Amino acid sequence: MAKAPTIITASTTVDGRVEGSEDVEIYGAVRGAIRLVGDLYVDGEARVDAEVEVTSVAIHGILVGNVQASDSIEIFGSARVVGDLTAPRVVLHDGALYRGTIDMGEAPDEGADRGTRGASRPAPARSAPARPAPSRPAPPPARPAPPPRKEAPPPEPAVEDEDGEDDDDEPALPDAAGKKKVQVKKRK
Amino acid sequence: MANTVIGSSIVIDGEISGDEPVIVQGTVKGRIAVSESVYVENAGTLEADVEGDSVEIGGTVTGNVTARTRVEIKAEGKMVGDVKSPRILIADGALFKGNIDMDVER
Repeated sequence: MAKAPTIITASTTVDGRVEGSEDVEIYGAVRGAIRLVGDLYVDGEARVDAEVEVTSVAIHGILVGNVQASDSIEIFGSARVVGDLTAPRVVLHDGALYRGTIDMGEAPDEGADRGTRGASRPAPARSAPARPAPSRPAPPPARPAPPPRKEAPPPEPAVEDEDGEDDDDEPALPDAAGKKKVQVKKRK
Repeated sequence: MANTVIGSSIVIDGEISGDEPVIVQGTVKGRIAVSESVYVENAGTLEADVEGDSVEIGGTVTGNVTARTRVEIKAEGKMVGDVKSPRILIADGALFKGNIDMDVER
């Protein structure tokens, strides 16, 4: 237990499968699949594009893929997650961006109901996972919430915005560089 | 958190790339290509081609190793494969089978 966990550092990319029976911390990127008997930590700067099967996972960064945990899945406020989640305990914190389906197993009283629920949208009976979902598209008066996040609904538009900014910057840069070069030549 | 660590029970099937040191205590199958050092510790097993700045082998490596500065196969190390690096050390007790190429510029 005193042993250091497996760590994928910020500038490191793993392309393929990660398997084992210990805790893993990801600060960099993993693409492929992660299967652990152990806890997974996805840092705020990390990016994971993988099918994930673990004991528990704490997500602070970006995760795209389906996640299955035998214990718990916790998505923190800084996280952006796209994919279906399956775990007996799922925690979605305020500010987290999430798109997908959450399955916390059957409620104790309605085992027979499961078939229909699995096929269609989750029944409103399940309040815990359902609550964050409707509150996002329709801005509710109940939650004052951070304004910038409200304007950009799912993760993708935000990424496009970033690209747009880059595009705006890039045309400007060559002009500036060009002017500088001209000046240097003149001086020489 | 400067080092990527692959713990002893971990198996990675694929490619690891980046520019921070990698310490392998578990198993990696595939490829490791980093700009920093790679350490294969005693319990570590590689079935992979390795590219790194320097590569230190205390475990078992099957695959080709290319290092910009040096490769060291320690006394506990076992390696099958070709080594390419300007400096290569093989300690007494190490097992090695393969080709050695020290004719590398830089």
